[in-house]
Amino acid sequence: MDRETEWELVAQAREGETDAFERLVRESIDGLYRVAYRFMGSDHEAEDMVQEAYFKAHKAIGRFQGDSSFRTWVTRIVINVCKDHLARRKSRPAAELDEQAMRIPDGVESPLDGAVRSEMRGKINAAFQRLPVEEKEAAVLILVDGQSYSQAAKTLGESEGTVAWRLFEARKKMSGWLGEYRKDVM
Amino acid sequence: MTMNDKEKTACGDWLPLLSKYCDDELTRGERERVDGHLAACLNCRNVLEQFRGASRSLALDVSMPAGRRERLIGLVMGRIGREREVRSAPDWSEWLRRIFSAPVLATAALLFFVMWRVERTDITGPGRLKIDSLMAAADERLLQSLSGAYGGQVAWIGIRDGDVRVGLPEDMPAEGVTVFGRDQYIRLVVELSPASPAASKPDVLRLMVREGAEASMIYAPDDRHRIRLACRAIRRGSEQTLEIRVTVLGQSELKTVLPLSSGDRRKAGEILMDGALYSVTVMSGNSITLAPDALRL
Repeated sequence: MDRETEWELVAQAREGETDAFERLVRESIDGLYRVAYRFMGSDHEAEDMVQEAYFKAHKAIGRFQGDSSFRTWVTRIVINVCKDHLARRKSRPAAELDEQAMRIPDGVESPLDGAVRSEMRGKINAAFQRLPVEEKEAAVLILVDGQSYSQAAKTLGESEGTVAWRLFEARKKMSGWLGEYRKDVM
Repeated sequence: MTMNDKEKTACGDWLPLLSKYCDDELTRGERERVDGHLAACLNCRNVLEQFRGASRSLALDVSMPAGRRERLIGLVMGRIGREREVRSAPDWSEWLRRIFSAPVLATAALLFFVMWRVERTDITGPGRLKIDSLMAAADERLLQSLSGAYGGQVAWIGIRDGDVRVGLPEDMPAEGVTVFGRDQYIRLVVELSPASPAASKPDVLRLMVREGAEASMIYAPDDRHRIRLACRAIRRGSEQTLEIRVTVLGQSELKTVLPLSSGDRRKAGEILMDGALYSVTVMSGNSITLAPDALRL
């Protein structure tokens, strides 16, 4: 969607046109879901965070200045929503974390591949949850949402150097943790 | 990553550049330097591969599961639509006056339903509300709507100003309330049970109090009476107690402290109103069922 069309939809949404807001949602929901899923590690919570983010965006649409795309703006909101939720969340029982890893594999995978994939997904989720929140933010924006360092820095209100360093730290840790897992598996 | 100390010292300065190399964020000059180093350093090539592997892992399987997209969009837009309805909801004091306009105090008993928080619940069965997802409420304002299904139709739950509402589809005969939250919330529900056969079915008032805080409300059963309910929930270790104060303004007051545990029904005491005694009963539980004809607004 080009910026002009997006602005037109934002203007209409500000006037209370829900169809316009729905179009904005449709354009951005896939990317927003990916960010929320990586942050939270479960489909169920990702859905909750996406709903909450759009709810907040709808309430605050009058304050959206257009200094970024709508998608970038609502991505910032969903990250804040995820951070708040993680801060409030008590420790979850291990069973619940395992449940989140168990997406139903699609039909083309063998049951064994599906099981390995689910286990790996659980390990990745668990490893990612160990990262400090600032490193999570950088990793999610750049590696999941595909933002450049410059875009991520703007989204987070940080310098590019800070964002680059946090991503480096996240990669270093994830490499180490996932490397240990691979050794266990093999 | 596994490197010996010497290798770590030699290659350590290159690692941040390798991270940027993965993302094509180096300047041309930096890239040429890194290419030159990689050509000569097996360790750094291994590290680069590990960094790329970690990057791929984080992007693995993060997309929305098949078939969920439209449902999620529906939930998003449904919630926004409900919020617009709540914003145009009737004034609460007017609602109270409507509820209590009937002469119901002759021999009425006051029942307090104290609902302890639930983490997550499915209340299923004919005429029951099944909740699909829960979200924590941070305070008494309308923060979150929850989604669920009532008889297969979409319902919503909102929390506002200490009160909880569930919105059911328009063709449902009544609206009900329930409370869910991961934080320490207790919902105090007052049920006025008239003894007169001509009186309407019990009506319910709800007071929501956060653990450690006090909440209060005043309701007017009729033009001449005002009853104030105040409640404070206190936790000491694993025990929860409830301080309850019921005041018939200008007439009498009942103050009591009760232990709170799920499933209890306790008589808290009595208050005097216009020369008649009213018993005050506290009920606690960790779930509430909704039936269409139980609650009216």
